[in-house]
Amino acid sequence: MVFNSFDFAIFFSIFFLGYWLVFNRKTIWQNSFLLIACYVFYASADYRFLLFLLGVSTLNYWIGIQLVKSKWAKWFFRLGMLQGILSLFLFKYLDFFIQFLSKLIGAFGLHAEWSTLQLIAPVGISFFTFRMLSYLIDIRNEKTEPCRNPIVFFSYVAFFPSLLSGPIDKAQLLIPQLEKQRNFDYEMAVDGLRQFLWGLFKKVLVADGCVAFTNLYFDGFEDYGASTLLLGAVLYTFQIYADFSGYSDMAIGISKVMGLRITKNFDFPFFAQNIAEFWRRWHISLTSWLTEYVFTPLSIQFRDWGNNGLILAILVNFLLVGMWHGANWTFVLFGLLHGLYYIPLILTGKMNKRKKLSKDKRWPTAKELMNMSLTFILFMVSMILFKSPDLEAAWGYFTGIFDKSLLGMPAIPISRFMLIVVVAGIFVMLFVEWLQRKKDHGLVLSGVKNSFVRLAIYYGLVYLIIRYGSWDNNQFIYFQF
Amino acid sequence: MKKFLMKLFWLLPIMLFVVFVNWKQDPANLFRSEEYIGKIASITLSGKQATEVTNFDERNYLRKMISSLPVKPKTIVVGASRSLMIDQGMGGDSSLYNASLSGGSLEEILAAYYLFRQAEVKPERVIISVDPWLLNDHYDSDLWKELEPEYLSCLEMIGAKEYVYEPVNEWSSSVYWELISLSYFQESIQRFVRGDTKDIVSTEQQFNDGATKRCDGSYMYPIGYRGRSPEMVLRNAESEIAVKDVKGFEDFKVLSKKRKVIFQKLVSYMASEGADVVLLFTPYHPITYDYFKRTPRYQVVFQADTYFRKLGKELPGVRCSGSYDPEYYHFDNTNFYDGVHCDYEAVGLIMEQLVQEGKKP
Repeated sequence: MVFNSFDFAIFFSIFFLGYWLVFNRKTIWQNSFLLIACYVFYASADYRFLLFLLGVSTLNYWIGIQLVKSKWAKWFFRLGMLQGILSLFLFKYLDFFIQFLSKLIGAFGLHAEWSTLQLIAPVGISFFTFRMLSYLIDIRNEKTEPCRNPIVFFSYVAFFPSLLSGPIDKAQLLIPQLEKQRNFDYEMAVDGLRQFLWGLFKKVLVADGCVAFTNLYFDGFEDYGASTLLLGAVLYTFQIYADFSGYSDMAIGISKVMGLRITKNFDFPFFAQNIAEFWRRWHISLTSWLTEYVFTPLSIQFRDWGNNGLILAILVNFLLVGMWHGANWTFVLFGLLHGLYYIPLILTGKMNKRKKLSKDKRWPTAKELMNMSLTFILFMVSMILFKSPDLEAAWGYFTGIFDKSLLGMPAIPISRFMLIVVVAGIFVMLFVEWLQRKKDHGLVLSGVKNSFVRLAIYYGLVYLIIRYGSWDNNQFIYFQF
Repeated sequence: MKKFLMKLFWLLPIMLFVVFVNWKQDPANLFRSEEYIGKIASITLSGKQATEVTNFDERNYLRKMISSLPVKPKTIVVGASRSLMIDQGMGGDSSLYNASLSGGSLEEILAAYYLFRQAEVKPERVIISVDPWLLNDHYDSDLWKELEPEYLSCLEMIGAKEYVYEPVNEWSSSVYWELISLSYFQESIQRFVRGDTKDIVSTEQQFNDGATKRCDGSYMYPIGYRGRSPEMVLRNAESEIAVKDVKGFEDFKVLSKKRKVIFQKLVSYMASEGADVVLLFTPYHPITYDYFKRTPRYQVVFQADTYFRKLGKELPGVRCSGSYDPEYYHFDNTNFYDGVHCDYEAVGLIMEQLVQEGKKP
């Protein structure tokens, strides 16, 4: 059940009425109803793993309490970590390691033909596992208290707006909100709807519009010239941003309508001045998770090694970012590449420098524009790895761009009009987000006082979405992670 | 809360607009289906051709036509769009009726045959266009549901009772859901922008600028489709294989056992009724065929080929004609409209061979 579907519209309408009009009198009713809705939502995505979700939630709930009251707390903590890491390893990485080890042993002339398990990974496993890992680590570090209300904890783990594709909310943010009774907040709900609308625009018009082209170009890259491949890479970079940030906007918007604030996941990353700033603005909930639990402890550990220690910590951190996306060498290299991008910034001491964009200026300066373009190109190169099924295909695609046909016209095997719509959609998205870059999301209209103008903006956007959006229920890319 | 709900009412004009445009334009003639197919049927039943036809409910039309055919056909053609252009001029039989359906599946072949038998038509020759997806359990089409009662009755008739089930009325399949469909709205707007609202025209001419449904059940594509340049055909063939699943091959990994049993029972039954049953293989575009050959997951095409040919050899009264391989007919890019459909002349050559084979002792 994707957010941009008729099924979800029905599901959420029923949920909304029940949540605010029927079960709103007591917190326990509200949360119980929320929990049921979360499990219905998850079951609609993949009912086979509902029991798994329930099982790991129960285990982590129990471990969380043991961490503060049991004399075996250290061992309970290890059990919790083991469960989370083992689940991820088993479902996502085991086959990859089996294949890797078979090849490695084969390279030494030995024969090892191990069969893979080919297990199907539960939908959203990376997201809910990270949630529970951070919960246990934070209890151990005394940053948060264990949640003693099972309904609240289970709702936190299975919180449906962010269950399948994030953001990865920390317990300190969501659990206290769930423990209190929510009262309907008109301003917050309306803002949530606006954010949802903006996310929907990005998803159905930009991301899904790009899909037809990028699938064609990447699947048959051998048949296309350099300019076409470059166009494919550019479109895919915008596609993944529009898809994932669109989903995040919708998830945050839905949460606001429910009276809950969840983690901001994107902060207009294409306006970043360098790759370090880019990662502070892209998939914020994952990067801040890894910064807190991986990068910071590692950099403290390696601090005696100076810049070398910092580089090592960054490389490990980004290898994990890559691996988090899946068990494939393309993702490993994706992470490594981003780690390498950081080296010049570390050596020149620019890694943590924050530059404020064109303060009070309407347009970016030439230098800012150049920095943004360079950051975009670096990210786009890594996106070739992200989209390709294997390293060979990625290399083929990448080298295919450097050809004399780069100056030719790109091939457009499907409707040119569709491409025009997609490109126009990208421009609208970038233009609006540039104007709104200091705001919470692309459709904060606090500056527009005239209600007719506001209404015209809503109607215009809705019309564009309905008229030119893709309504074939394309899945969100990040569901697979 | 009240204020918020009131705000949501601003969405109502948009919803109403969508419903209005969908109803008014109705690009697939869903809401005026009976009236629309009634018009086509009255023209074709009078022996003329109906041109400028756009999307129409082919299944319902077929039901209407077969029950009222003025002449009982001796030759019938069943299958999907790849056999839709076979006409009376090609079959060596002026009574031929083509009951092929766009996107036709095994269920529809059974249903069409049952419709003929119900109308007391006992064909002397049945030409079945054997597309590989007839044996695909995951073929992504539910258009056949329109003919579900006939399909189930045919299963009983051919002795495949074990596969008969109690049909379920699905509320979600009502065409009126399309009133609020956003993809249907996009089609409606396109139709409005194109001014594509021509009415059906009755004509004696076999070839017309618009799409034509002929009185023998065959279908002639509009001139824009028939007149594609070789480059366009090639590009189209390439784009058709550059997708996750070529149309009809959705999740098609093995030949369905159930479908094999049903198909075998069907052709045996037809043969036992005295018909010359021809399993017709129509060729794919060279690009598509080559792609099938070199892609492991499309080996089902060749498994289906082997299976159908085995039936042709083993079952009395059943024979095979043609090939999926374009090389068999020496066809190249110029003999196709796209990656899966031969052009009209090519279909004529295929049928010429079929008729010649039928004359051999």
